[in-house]
Amino acid sequence: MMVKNRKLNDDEFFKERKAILATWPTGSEVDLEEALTFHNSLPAKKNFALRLVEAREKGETLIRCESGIPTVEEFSNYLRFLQDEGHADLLGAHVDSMTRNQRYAETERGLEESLKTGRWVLNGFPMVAHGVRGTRKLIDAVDLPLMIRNPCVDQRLVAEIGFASGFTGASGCPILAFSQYSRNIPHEVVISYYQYVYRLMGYYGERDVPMVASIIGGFAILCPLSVLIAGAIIDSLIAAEQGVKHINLVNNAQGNLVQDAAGIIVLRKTVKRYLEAQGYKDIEVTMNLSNWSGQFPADTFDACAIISVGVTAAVAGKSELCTVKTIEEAKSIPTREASANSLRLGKTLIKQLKSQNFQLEDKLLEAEAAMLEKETELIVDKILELGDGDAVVGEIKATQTGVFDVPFSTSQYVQSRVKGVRDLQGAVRYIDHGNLPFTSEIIDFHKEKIAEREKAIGKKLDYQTIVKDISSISRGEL
Amino acid sequence: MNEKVHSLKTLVTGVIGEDVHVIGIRILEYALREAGFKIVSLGAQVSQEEFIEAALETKADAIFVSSLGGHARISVPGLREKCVEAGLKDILLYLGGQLTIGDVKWEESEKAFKDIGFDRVYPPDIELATVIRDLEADCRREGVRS
Repeated sequence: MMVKNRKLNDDEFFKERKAILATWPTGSEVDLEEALTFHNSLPAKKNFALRLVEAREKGETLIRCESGIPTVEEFSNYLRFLQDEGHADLLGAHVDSMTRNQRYAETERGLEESLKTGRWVLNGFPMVAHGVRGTRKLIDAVDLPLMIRNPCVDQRLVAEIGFASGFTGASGCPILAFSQYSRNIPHEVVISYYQYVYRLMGYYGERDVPMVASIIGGFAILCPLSVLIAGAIIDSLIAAEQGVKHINLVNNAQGNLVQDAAGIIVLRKTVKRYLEAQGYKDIEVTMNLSNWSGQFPADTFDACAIISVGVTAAVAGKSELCTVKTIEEAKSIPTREASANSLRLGKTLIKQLKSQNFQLEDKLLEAEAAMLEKETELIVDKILELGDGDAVVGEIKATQTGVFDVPFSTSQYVQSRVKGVRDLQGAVRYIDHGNLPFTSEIIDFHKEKIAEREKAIGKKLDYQTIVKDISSISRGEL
Repeated sequence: MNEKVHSLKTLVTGVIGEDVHVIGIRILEYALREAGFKIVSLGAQVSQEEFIEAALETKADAIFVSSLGGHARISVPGLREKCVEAGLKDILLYLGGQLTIGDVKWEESEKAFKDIGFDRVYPPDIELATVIRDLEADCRREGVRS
C-alpha cells in the first residue's frame, strides 16, 4: 500500500464511503444531503469551527471539558448541566473505547447492560450504537457546539455518524492514532483512514458547513515538545490537503508554565508557516491548551491547582481554548457536578487573568520558544526532505528510521528511543533524543539543562527519574 | 531479596482488550525487571489468547494484566478458564488499573475480580513495592506447593 499526501478524488471517496457505511446497520442512517440541510438549520453559534474563529478575533480563551456517558438521555442531561451550571463555552462527546476499536457488537451489549442496570459499563458515548437518530438528540439538547472526541485508528464511521448528527469537529489525528492507539497496524493504513475523515470534513466545508480538525502531534506525557509540534505540523499538512479549512491545535500542558505557553506560541506559528509554504493559504488556525493528561492527583485541592496552572498557561500563550480535566479525573468518569465545578474554576481564573492582561515575561518565553522552533524545524525539514516534499511519504520513512520518534509508543513500528525528563524548573527536556536530526547546539542545550538538575540533586538522572517525573503531578508536585 | 526465587520467575505482561494505556505497565515492568524478574512484554491491546500463548511459550509463572480504560468487566472474564483449558491451572493471575466505571466501591470490585480467578487485584495508585512484595510471597508459596 503506497500512500501519499494527495487529496482523495470523488470516485475514491464515495467508493470508500459506501463500504464504511455498510460496516454497521446504523451507517444507513447517514444521508449527506439531509445532514447538510440539518446543519444549515442550526445557528452559527452551534458551529465549533466558527466559535473558535470568533474567539480568536475577540481575544477570548474559551473553556470546555471532556465528557462521555453511555446513554442518550443521561448524556443529554449531563451536557445541559455543563452548559447551564458549568458555563461551558463548547462541548464534546467522548466516544467509548470499544466503539473506537470497531467492537460495535460488544458496545451494544455494554449499552444494553447500562440501560438495564442503570450502571455505566462503557467508558464513553457509543456513537455508532446510537446512530444518527440517537446522537442528534445531543445536538438538540444544548445550545453549544459539539466536537467528537474519538482518538483511535479508524474513526471513519463515527465521523460519518457524528457529522451527520450535527457535530462540527473531530479530534484525533494520524500520528496520535498510530503511535498511541495501535500496536501492529501499519502507518500508511492509519494515515489513509484519516485522509478519509479529513476529506469528509472538507466535503462538508465546501458546502458551507465548516468542520474543525483538532490536531495534537502525539501524547504529551513527559514528551519533549518539539516532536509533538513536528507531528502536529505533518498532520496539519495531511488535513489541509484533504480540504480541511479549520485546524485547532492542541498543546498538552506538562506543568512548566513558560514551556507550556511557549508551546502554544511555537505550535501556532510553525503550523501556519508550513501550511503556507506548502500552498495551503486559507486555513483558520486556533489553539487549545489541554490540561496535563497523565495521572491526576486524587486530592481535590491538588487537582484544582493542576487545572489552574494549565489555565494560566492557556491565557499566557493566548490560546483560544482551554480544555480542563476535572477534579475527579483520578477517580473515574467524573460526575456532572465535578465537571461543572472544574469549568467554573477555569472560567473564573480566565476572567481574573484576562482582566489584568496577564502575561509571562517576554525574555523567558522567547528563549524557550526560540529553541523549540529550531528543534521543530530540524525535524520537519528532514521529514519533508525524506519525502521529497511529500509529508506522508516523509513521515512514514522518518518514523521507520527514528528521525521522527515519540516516547512510550504503543506501536511496534515506532522506535520509542526518545525519552523526556524534567529539568530543574520542571520543563521537559530530551534525556535521550534517539535518532532525531539535532545539531550539537540543541543536544548540548538539553544536556546542560539536565546537568543543572543533576548537580542540584547530586545524582545522575535515569529511568527511575523518568518514572518519578511521570507520576510527580499526581502527588501535587512537579 | 531472594535471588533464588526471582531467577526462576517469568512474567507475561500486557494491557488487555482494546485498551492502549501502556505507561503504567511499562513502569511496572521496569520495577519488576529491577527486582530480578524476567519480563515478557506484550504491550497494548492484548487478547486473552495472546496472553495465554505467550505464557505457554515462555513457561511463565504469572500473567500481569493491566486495564486502565474501565472496561475490565468486559475484557477479563474467562481468562482463568482459558488458562485452565490450556494447562496453566496454577499460573498466577494479577490484575491492576482503573478497572471499572462510575461509583463502584473498591472492595466490591476487588472481590468480583478475585471471584473470577485473579490472585491479586490492584487499584491504579498501588505502590510498586507492594506488588513486588506480594509477588515474592506468592512465588514462594507456589514453590512450596509444587
